[in-house]
Parts: sequence; C-alpha cells; structure tokens
Amino acid sequence: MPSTGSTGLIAQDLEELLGRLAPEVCDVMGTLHGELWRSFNPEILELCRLRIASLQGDEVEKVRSPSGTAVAPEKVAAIRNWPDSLLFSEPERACLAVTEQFVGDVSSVTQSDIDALLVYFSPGQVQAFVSALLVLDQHQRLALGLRTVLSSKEEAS
Amino acid sequence: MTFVRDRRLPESDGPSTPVAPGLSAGIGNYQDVVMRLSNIDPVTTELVRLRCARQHQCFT
Repeated sequence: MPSTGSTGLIAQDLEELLGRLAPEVCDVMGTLHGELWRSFNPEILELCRLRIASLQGDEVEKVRSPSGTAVAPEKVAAIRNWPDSLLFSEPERACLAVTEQFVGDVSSVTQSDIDALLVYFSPGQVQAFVSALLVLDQHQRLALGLRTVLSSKEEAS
Repeated sequence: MTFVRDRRLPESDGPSTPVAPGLSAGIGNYQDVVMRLSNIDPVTTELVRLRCARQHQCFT
C-alpha cells in the first residue's frame, strides 16, 4: 500500500528515509503515531516526548509538535530541570520520572516506578502510557540512528 | 533456568476493556511489518528480537 502522505506525526526526514527504504514500515508507523496521541493525556505525552528529545540530544524532535498539543512555553523551557521546578504537577512528575528510567535503562524500571504511576492513573492508563513511551522512544532512536548511519554513508560516497 | 515474571500492574477483578486498544494493535502491526522485512537475514532479525525482548522484560 502506498504511503498516504505526510501528516506531521513522524519526523519529516525519518518519514522520507523510511518511505524510500521501507515504505511498509512508514505506513504502519504513521497509523501507530495517530493512535499514540489518542491513547493517553496528550499534554503529558508531549512533555515526555520533549524530555526524551533532550535526553537523546535530538534537536529535530525538540522543535517538532506532532501532537498539535499546546504546552506552556515555560514548561518546555524547564523540562530538563523538572525535578526542581514547581511548574509540573505530581502526575506529570511521576510520568517524567518513568520516562527518564525508561530511556536510560528500560530493564531497570522498578515496581516502585510503576506504583508511583498507579497513585494517579488506572492500571489500564499505566499500560497505555508505557506503551506510548515505547512508541515515542522507538521513533526518536530510529530517527537518530538512521540520520547518523546514512549521513556518514553519504559523506563517504 | 526458569524466569518468573513479576506482575507490575494489579490483576483485574473481572473482564476489563483495554484503555488504548488502537495503540496495542498499532504496536503489533508495526512489529509484524518489521519482522517481515527481508533486508536482514532471519537469524539476525530473531537475535535482535530476543535481545529487545529481554531488555524490555517481555516474556510473551
């Protein structure tokens, strides 16, 4: 099935690369990212997406807005220092803490990390949030990896 | 060696409706398509899949 065109859900350069290298992956990824923003509180997901981008040094992702969700600019500016900032609610802090653990070492996410989410969210919502984190993290890692690998190949040729 | 999976979320008392069925289905479809890619040989693909599963503590 051909790609249905850019929706802004996927980083533009990643979409172009995947469209060329693996169009079938590009199509399902577009659908997946459409579902992503319906699965959990989009403002919290947007904060977590921005935190993943700052942790991974993804400059492209920092300036994108795939969800169309408006997050207060002062919160965006404070995202790196969220533990010390008073701008973030307790549910947001619980989600950002799990995000950092997930990105840093997913195998070390603990029961207490999950229990901190269960204070504010139902088990189903926690499952949806962690699944959404997987999708966000995977997108940024794939984009960074392909940019790095393909740009060095193009430089070499 | 037997792995015992820790339960991270409390077990539901009865039948429950998934909160984000579209997201779960989307992840499944994405993984299916990736596994069917043919540019990398199946053994390497499977090794990567198993490594990812272990890293994510996925026992399904």
